Amino acid sequence: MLAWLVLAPLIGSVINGLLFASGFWKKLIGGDDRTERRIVSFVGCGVILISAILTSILFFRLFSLDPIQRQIFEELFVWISSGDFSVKIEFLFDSLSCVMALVVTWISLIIHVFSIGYMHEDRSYSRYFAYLNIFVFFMLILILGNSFPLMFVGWEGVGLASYLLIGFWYEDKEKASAGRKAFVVNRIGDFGFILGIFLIFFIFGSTNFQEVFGKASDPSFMNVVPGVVITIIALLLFVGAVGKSAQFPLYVWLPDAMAGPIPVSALIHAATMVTAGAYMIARCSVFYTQSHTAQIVVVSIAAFTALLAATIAITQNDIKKVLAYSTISQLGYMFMALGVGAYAAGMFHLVTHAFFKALLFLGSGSVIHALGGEQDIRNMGGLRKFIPLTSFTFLIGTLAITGIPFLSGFFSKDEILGSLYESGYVIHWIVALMTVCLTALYMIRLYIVTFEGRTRVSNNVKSHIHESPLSMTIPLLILAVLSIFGGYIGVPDFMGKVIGIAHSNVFKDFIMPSVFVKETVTSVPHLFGHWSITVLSIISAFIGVLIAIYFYAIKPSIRESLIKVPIFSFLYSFSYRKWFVDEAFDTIFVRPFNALAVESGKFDLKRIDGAVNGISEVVVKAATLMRSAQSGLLRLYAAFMALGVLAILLYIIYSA
Amino acid sequence: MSISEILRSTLLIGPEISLILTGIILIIFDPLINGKRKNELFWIVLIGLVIAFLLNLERLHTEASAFSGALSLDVFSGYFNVIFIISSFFAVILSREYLITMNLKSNEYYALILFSTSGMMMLSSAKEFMSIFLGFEIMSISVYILSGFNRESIRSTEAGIKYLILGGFSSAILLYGIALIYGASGTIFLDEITSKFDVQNPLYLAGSALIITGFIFKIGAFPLHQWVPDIYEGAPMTVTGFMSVGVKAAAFAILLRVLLEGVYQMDANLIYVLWLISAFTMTIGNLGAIVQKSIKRMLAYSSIAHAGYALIGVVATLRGEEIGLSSVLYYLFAYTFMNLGAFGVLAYLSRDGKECDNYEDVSGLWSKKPLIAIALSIFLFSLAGLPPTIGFFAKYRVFLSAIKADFYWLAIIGILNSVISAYYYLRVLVYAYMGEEEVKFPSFKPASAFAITVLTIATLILGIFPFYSWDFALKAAASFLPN
Amino acid sequence: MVVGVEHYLVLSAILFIIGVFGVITRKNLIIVLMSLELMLNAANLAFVAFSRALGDMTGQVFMIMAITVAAAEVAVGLAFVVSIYTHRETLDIDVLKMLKG
Repeated sequence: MLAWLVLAPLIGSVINGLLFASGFWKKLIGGDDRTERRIVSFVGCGVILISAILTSILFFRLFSLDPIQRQIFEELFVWISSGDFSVKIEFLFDSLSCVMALVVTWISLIIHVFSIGYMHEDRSYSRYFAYLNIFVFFMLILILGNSFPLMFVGWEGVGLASYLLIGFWYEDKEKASAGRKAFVVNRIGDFGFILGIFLIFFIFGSTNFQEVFGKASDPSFMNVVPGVVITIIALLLFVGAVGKSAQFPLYVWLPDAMAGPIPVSALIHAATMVTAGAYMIARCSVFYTQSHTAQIVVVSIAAFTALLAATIAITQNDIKKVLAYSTISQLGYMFMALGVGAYAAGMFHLVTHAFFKALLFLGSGSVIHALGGEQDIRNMGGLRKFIPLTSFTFLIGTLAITGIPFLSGFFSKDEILGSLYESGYVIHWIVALMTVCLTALYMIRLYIVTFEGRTRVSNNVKSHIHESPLSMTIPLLILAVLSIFGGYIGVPDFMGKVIGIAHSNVFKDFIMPSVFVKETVTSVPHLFGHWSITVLSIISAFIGVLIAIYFYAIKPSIRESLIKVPIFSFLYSFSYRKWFVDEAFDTIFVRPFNALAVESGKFDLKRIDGAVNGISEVVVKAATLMRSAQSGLLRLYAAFMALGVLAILLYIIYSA
Repeated sequence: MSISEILRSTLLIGPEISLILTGIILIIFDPLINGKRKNELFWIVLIGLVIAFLLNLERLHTEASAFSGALSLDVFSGYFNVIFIISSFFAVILSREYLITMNLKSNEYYALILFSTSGMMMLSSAKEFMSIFLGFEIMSISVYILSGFNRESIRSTEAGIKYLILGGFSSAILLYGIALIYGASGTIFLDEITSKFDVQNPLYLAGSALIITGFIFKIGAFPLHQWVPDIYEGAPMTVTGFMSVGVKAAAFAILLRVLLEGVYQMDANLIYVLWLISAFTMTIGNLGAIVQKSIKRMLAYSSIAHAGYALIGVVATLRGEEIGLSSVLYYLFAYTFMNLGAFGVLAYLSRDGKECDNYEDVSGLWSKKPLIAIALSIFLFSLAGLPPTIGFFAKYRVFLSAIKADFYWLAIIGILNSVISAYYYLRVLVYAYMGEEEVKFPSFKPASAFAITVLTIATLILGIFPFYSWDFALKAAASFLPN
Repeated sequence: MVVGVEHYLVLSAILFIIGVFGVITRKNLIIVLMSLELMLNAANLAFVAFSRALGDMTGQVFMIMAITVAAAEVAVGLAFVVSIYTHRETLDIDVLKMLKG
């Protein structure tokens, strides 16, 4: 059953790709475009529905098992076998992968359905579905694979699918190069990941999850392994996660990745693929729990990323960019939780985030669809009257991410903040609290500027504004319901007690058997109790909300005059220009290399397209230098050969 | 050597004989048949290759020695023969329509490919230097002629003469090295040389250094790599494809044989030389490939880089890592499919006497010939080492062998290089999928399409299920390693 | 003075180096081919000298075979030379630089 769950999207992709996208169907059967599109949508969504149903069946089967036995294996065949190294194609369905698989398949289904409406005018309709299906296939491999190599296959596969989908409108050079940027930046992370896998195989002699984690949690084995090795493994894997989940400093690809179609941004760059890093760390919890250094690194980078992205999001004017930075910031929350060992809290936030962020992205897609491609919020405003359903669901998403009590985001954020504080990371907790406030600020700003106030839409666009078709609004409604109620699967225990439920955090109890946590209780003196932490985070969220309402709805004029004050204008441009990160990269990497190039200036600079940073400039320089040695002159080749032979000869004779 | 020994040995080298006989038949019958039917001799070539393949199957599970120990017909040589036969089989099929497109005469062309293949097969089984030198030259001289086969084209002629002179240069160095080793040991048999080898004697050292550089030339590794891009660019497309897989694999076969059976005691000296050569070869190949405007020349540079990756495995083998040897063997096997496939697509796209050469020439391929575009993508993905293709698995094995042999830096350099390589491979796809120039593509070519389909499927299937072919490489390596 | 194997070896090394320099420095294609021959023949000389010193015939057989191979190589080379001459009407080796970079 597991195998079919994974294979179904692949089959769909093959059908859509080979039969329709290649034009094979047209050549064979012909027929009109509409029937073809109907078949494509039917196949594309149908296979995902099959996966989703199978996942649910498996979930119920898993749930009926005893908590400590909640693992379902399915071995297909031996993929690689040589000496002491062997990899089986084997899938593992435990509570961790179950949660991920449920999120991936069901959210994918919703977004596939949304795509039918959103993409209906695109001429590469079948190619789009083929890519989207292949993405789901690789994502499921990543989640369900029971060994590091298999996970890596999925890891690279989703990167590939993401590359293809970001550059989906490849006729636009800028969009195509955004795809390439994502691919290249991700490969930096993959480099770390694969080194980590090598090291794991080297230390544990296996890459199978059970064997590796079994040994890693066995005290008698771990006494022999120096602690620093575990830290290195954890950090290498984290490098992979940083790339895939867009954490500092490798987050730069995600804002650019918004070049792809909106459903893609919602599915890949908000709900699923970017959370693969979080999943991987939860899966490898045994390494992180045992390395305090790695935990500190993870928490600190995550906290910094969360704050950085939130401050940038405040001033962005592209609706998708705001959501992209918001995604980076929310991923920071997840990693904070994972870093302090609160794996259940991190995974919980992953789930709720998938709901409301998918909702927000699809909502923005509906807005952009209605406005015929407009993405700049300065040209929107007052849209509530034109597209009421979209604006209502968008508001729900906004409130959920803001952390307004009793919506889904509230519970998961509260878990994270509580665990940060309780583990003694007080500074990080304060940073997270600030981020809560900033999140509220930029999300409410986004909502107000887009949907409220006087409309700034030009008249000829205004006449075309229409609410989106049912295939787009129904997904929005479903996601809105999930964003409201999705959090009730994980109500923190201390809140549950109030209404008399002993174990209200069902989610945590479900996840815990799959992760490895130390059973020591931290003895940090509690300045505040659970409730006070909760109240503090609610207060900071409301502060953000109030600031946003005050500045954007009640008194916009004050904001305008404030910006003219030097210190605020500096802060504004600091945020608007994204902390000058692009400029800093420019000064640190690009300029010195350019200066070097000018100094050595014998070789004319040759910019190849897509040379996005200075490192590639250096590579090109070296290549040009080498190329000038390739003169085409036979005699010089012979001379170089003779020198080479002489060098090898002398070395061998004298080294003996 | 008695007559019975000669007879027995002759029966044992059936694969070689079948190729040579087929070549001779082609040359004899070519003038006797006239007109259009000349092209039908193509089928005889295929029959000859299939017979050779079937006869070679015997070698995959037996060990024999022929001509008083001059040839060792073991699994190792059988494994390489499979690579050679596959590469010439597909090169021949791809050539059928390519030669017509380029207005070239066919029959001596096929004969030369067969002769060259027989030279490679001799090389893979040779155990003494006379057979080595003969095999080396049979292979090389045929390939010289093939590179300059398009006499109407000044580029092809230039490639031919350049290859001949530089190749002759390296042969002379090889021959001189053999002479020195012979002088020091008084024998030309590898196993006797091993037993007499004396690391203090400069004649041995100089001789083996010269011999190894001779092989390094044919591999196309730094510092004897400069001929590769020029010759690969000038030679006819199918010949380039054939050379880049067949000749390279043969050179690796003999390099491994001489290193492991002849001058094994030198591993301490050689290991760091080869380490450096491998690192430089990868880097230089990739650097060169980045700045090319011609896909053919880019693939030529990338083939230098791939020689570097394969050399990683050789270094690991010298450190005594068994997986190293099988990973080299597997790498060459994998490279055969993906590289021949990439050149096959370029040959397919050549039309009206003009080769598909520059990046612009594949512009818009996806919208006009989607299946060919998919095949090209799979080959390039495989060359870049992305899963789930055979190239990923092969690279993974090679890097793993380096790590097992404690050459962490070499593995890191290799991985960094393969990251760089993704850039220029994917760049071809950018043109193929997003290019907007109006390019005319040739009409359907059945034989080439067949070859490309088979190669595509092999690249994918062997990548997803590499286990069986990997087992085969393990077996070949195990039969060969000194215990 | 007794002429021993060392003398032959030195002579062959000198011939070999002259051949190498010939290939590197001469511009005429024919002379380059001749220089290649010189290199091969230097090796042949070494073979014969060793064969004589060791009292073993293998070296001489090897030499005869190497001469045959060299003849084949030069035959192919001369065919190319003719072809180059019809294209370019010169034998200057330095005009062959269409393929570069």
